[in-house]
Amino acid sequence: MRFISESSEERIPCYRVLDDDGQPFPDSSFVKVSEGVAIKMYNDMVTLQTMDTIFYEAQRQGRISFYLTTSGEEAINIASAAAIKNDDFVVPQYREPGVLLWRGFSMQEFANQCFGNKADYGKGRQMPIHYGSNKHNYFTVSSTIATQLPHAVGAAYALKMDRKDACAVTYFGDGGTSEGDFHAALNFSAVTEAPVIFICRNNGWAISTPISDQFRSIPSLPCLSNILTILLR
Amino acid sequence: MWGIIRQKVAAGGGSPVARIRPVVSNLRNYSSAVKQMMVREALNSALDEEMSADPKVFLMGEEVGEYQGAYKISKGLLEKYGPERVLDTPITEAGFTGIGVGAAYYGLKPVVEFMTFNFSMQAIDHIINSAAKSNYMSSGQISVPIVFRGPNGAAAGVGAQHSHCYAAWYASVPGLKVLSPYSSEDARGLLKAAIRDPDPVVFLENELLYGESFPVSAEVLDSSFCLPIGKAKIEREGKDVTITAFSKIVGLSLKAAEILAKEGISAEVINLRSIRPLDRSTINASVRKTNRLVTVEEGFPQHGVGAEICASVIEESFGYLDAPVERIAGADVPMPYAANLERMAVPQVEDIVRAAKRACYRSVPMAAAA
Repeated sequence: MRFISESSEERIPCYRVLDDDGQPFPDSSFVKVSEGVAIKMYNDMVTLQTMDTIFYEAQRQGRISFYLTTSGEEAINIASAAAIKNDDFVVPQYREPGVLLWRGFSMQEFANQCFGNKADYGKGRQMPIHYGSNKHNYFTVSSTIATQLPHAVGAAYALKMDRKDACAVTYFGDGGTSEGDFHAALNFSAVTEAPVIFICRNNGWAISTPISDQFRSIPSLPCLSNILTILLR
Repeated sequence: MWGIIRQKVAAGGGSPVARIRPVVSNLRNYSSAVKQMMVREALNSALDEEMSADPKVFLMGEEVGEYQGAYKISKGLLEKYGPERVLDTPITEAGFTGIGVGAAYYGLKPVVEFMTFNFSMQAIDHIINSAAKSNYMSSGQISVPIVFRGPNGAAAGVGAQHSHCYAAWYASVPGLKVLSPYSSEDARGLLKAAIRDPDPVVFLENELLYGESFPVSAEVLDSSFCLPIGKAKIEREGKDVTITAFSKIVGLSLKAAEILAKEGISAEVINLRSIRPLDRSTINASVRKTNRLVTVEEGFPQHGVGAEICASVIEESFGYLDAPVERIAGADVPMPYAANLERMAVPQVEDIVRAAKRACYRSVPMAAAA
């Protein structure tokens, strides 16, 4: 019987550009975006943060019943949205309105959904922030945690069978990785070689449960806030 | 909207507004010696006392420890009993329910909290196939002394995936006991009974009831207080029509009974308390007295609790019925979010009053549904 030590000498390669302080590593390589794209990205991040502030305050005042912000994760939303095409099918969790914003969802459309008025595409059937848009290829947000992961794999499989030049992109938080659906989705995406991107928004917290209570091993990347971990399949 | 605010303020417990209103404070001594207790406090004290009395009892669930409970039901328990007996679980209902059942197999007494029973969907295989059926399948050799508890049914403005009532689903399974308290007395007595019970118990609370206060006697406050499983309570005696209800709907039924009394109809309101086993003898005795029955529930109508009560009464007391059984249930649609739609999807006091009048032939009977 051989005992294999938990830390092997060869580490799994992980692509990373910024360090914990937000500065680029000296030997990192990345592709620069055009000025137009950079301006749109910055614009959308600021818009997203402002929209969050207004709607969150409205929720605290009782004007809408529910709201979740994207505070601190604006970059994840906007940057990932900028990296994919409109044809790519987005299956969100609930903290990714920035992707919709990037794709052209208007303030009015966000407000309509939050207030459940007659212009809401969901006609008042769903809770606030459960946005969805056929036009923008953004599947409607569902409250159930991590169920979107196997859904994304299924959608990716369908895209592959249709021979479309597109992929499925799905998001989840560090807490959601504890769900059984996470493991099923990752496993199956590898088995079926489905064109799906899994984006984990790791902010180190699942409501009030820290990642030290979710995972036995502390991640090899030390940062506990806003690590963008992309698992490409 | 403001109704929600009011609920949240009343439920806050620590907020200054709540302190000003004496009726929502817990355990205030009045000269008449009637104590008021919030349902939240009733559940907390029951958990505390049972954990104190039996070291095998432990609590597990999302946010039950550090956060003091998603609805503050487990407030103070982590501090008192430590992290070995109050476990904050990762987000995996399937996972931690399985772990709880395993602990129960070995002889511990877990109390598994679901943030809402809607999330028990992820874990229902463990509840049914691991917990409920094991005793029978092992011919009595395996015992599963586990309690699954949490809020059930509709709250306010939380949409379809957070408003489902699971009473009928769980109550159809042999091997489970299903309880649903209304008042603080129910909450204390039934939770204690559930924890002491050697079999799996599904304990369906209601988020909107957590902040409501009810009078409790000294007997209820005693740590040995316990209510029997399988016995309903007649909340209000009457002679013209029987209304059965459980959980939040009991409150609405009592209000309906007040309105009916003014119109000369004396309604008997039965608080089921126990959905499985159903107290068929109390229900039938009442129907034999009043000859008319209205069943009320929040959940979906098809295959619901009301359907079972109706069948039971027809089987045992058909000759005593003077009118068809009236069944009030939630609308047969996934719960809509918008407040005006939600109001139409959940039974209101007026619906219960109308049904009672139909049963008493005070109004035209409804045409058969398609």
